[in-house]
Amino acid sequence: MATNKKSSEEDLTRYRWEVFGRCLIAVVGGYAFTIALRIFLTQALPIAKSSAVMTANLLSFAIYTIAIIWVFSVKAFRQLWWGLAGSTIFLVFVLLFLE
Amino acid sequence: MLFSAIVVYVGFALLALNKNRHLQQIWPSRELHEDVKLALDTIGWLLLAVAVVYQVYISGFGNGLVEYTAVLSISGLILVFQFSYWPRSVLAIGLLERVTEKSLPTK
Amino acid sequence: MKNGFRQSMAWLHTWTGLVVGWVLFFVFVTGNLGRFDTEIDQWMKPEVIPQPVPIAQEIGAAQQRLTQQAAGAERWTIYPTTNRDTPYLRITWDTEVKPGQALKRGEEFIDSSTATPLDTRATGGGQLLYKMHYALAYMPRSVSNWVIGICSMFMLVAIISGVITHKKIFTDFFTFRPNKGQRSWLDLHAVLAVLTLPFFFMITYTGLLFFLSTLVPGIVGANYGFGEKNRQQFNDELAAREYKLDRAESSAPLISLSQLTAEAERRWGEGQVRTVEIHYPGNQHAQAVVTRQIVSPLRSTEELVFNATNGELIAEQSATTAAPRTFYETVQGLHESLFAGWWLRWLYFLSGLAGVAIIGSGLILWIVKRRPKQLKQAEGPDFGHRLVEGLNVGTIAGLHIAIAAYFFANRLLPVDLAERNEWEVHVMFSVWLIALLHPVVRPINRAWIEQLWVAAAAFLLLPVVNAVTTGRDLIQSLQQGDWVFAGFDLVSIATAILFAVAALKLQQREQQQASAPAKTRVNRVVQEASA
Repeated sequence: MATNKKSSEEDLTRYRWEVFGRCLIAVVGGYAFTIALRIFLTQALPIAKSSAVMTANLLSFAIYTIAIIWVFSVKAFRQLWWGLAGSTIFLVFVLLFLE
Repeated sequence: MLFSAIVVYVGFALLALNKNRHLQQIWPSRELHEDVKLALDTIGWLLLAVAVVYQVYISGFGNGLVEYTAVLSISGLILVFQFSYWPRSVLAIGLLERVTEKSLPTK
Repeated sequence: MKNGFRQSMAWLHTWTGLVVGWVLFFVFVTGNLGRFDTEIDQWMKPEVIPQPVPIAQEIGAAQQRLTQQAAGAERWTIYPTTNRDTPYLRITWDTEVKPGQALKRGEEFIDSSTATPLDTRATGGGQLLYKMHYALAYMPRSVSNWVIGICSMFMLVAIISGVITHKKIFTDFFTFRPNKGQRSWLDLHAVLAVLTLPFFFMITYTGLLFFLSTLVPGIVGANYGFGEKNRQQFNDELAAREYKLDRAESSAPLISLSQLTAEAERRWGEGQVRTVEIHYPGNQHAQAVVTRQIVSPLRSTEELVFNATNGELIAEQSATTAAPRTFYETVQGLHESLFAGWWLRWLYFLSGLAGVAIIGSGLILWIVKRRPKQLKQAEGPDFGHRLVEGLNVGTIAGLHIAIAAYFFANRLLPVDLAERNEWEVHVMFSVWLIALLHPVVRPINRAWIEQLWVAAAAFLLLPVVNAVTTGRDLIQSLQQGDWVFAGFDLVSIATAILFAVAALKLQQREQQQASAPAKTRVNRVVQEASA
């Protein structure tokens, strides 16, 4: 009985930490990802510079929203880290390569 | 605008009657034949499409779509009120039945 | 997260919605009133009744005043009353404070017969109420931009996760089951959301776009360099303003601007001029940009660019430019609804009301869902629960009382009070503060009922106070076809009725609850007796 209660309390604490962690990743990670993808877009789109910037601007909140939804929908915590870090690094690399 | 509103309203009403939940709000424990359902579905969506084309045609693309969206909201809202508080007033069905002295959906 | 995509989205929807719900409620109520900002302006300046004046006279008066007031400015803008959004001739001027920084704006309403500022009570008017929906109050824009921006972002996430959560709402399209407690609240929340989803999504997304340069800066900066001047260059490039010149060394007098608007009217037709903008007035390179009325969601319009020293036509800009900008200007125009005629404006207003109801019912749902469990607790509801309940009362009912107070302040504060326009706002927010604190000292049900009654009484009194203080009562307004004043009174009365009905319903429910246990006791006695 006592152990049961303890483990459920531990579960709750872990759950709360996970929620906190996900919020943090969603807000900060998603933001970084959005910025990276936008800079990538402004470089990669084959249209006039001002138009490319505006297009990236228009898309930014959609990208951010999708990133946030994704962070909260992925089941395994680890998968999440890899996904966000991987895609951000990938974008940065492509960018450096383009320059 | 009024024309599209009426067309959208009828279209929505047909699509709603297609669902047993709403159909049975008007005629409890009745079900429609699959063919009738398909017909209602087709005509319903067709009417929604007609209205958008018409509205864009008379008001232009920008204004037309805005007005169409407004029409969708208003017609939908009216139907929600009718189904919730007075289902037999949808499409004036109660009135039609009284005039024709017939229950409309025949099995 | 919780098991399953749907559950985690439900979680996300609940919490993103709750955290910012009250701010969003404020934004929606004030923003929605902004659909009629100029009508409210007129109501709040009852001394001046807008009169039709020839545009040449207006432009002349504006030019005279601006020359006196803002000779060295970077830019002047004149808004003649052909423009629906300015019932009074309005001028603004932007002056450079420090090179590379944002310009400082001055603004005046002008009496076009004397070319002096309009003689009226100091009031924030409908404009201020409307401005609160994106700038809030009592804080600098640098703070409010972030507050509103973040709240809007939450809202966008709440909308998307809400659609995923309530996927069934599309199949239950027309379903509303009244008088069923939680079920009804959920139905109301979902039905209104589905019916106005395009509007709701559009208003949120485009609202966010207004904060682009605050929320996600650096993209323009990374490509064009930072600072005001580079941003201006980006905007000019995007809008293809190739005619733009830098300030010249030498100065030259302006020509009479009414000549230019006459030329514009000759091309576009009478009443088609929306604004006149002058860059570097008094400079050799002064240019005047005359813009046309907005007739569709696309808010950028045709422009005529003149040399403002000799009246020569330099360029004709078309309304559409590069595709991304045209798209941007269209969706932003959808948000601002400047193109909307009166009936479309009312539909906008109703959609906004639906938005208010969606947010309000969402906040109430959070409570209704948790109340049974909370009431069973021996020590009573948690602090968090009571906090949410209190904020709900103080916002959903209280904010409306505060807005009524803002209108009362406009009528009742002495006209010569110093900083009178600021006092209107002080009154509004003091009343709101009281409304937010009131649930702390009252049982929650009582707090609801009392505030709803106060709101009903306040809005019912507004037309009365208006009639007493201005003599323009409802009957007279209706007879004269004065739809600004009549409309205000009628909406006010309708609002009062709405609040009264809500209060009556709550009261009824309270009585039922009070008498219910007694009834079951009687039943038991009867049963025992019969046995």
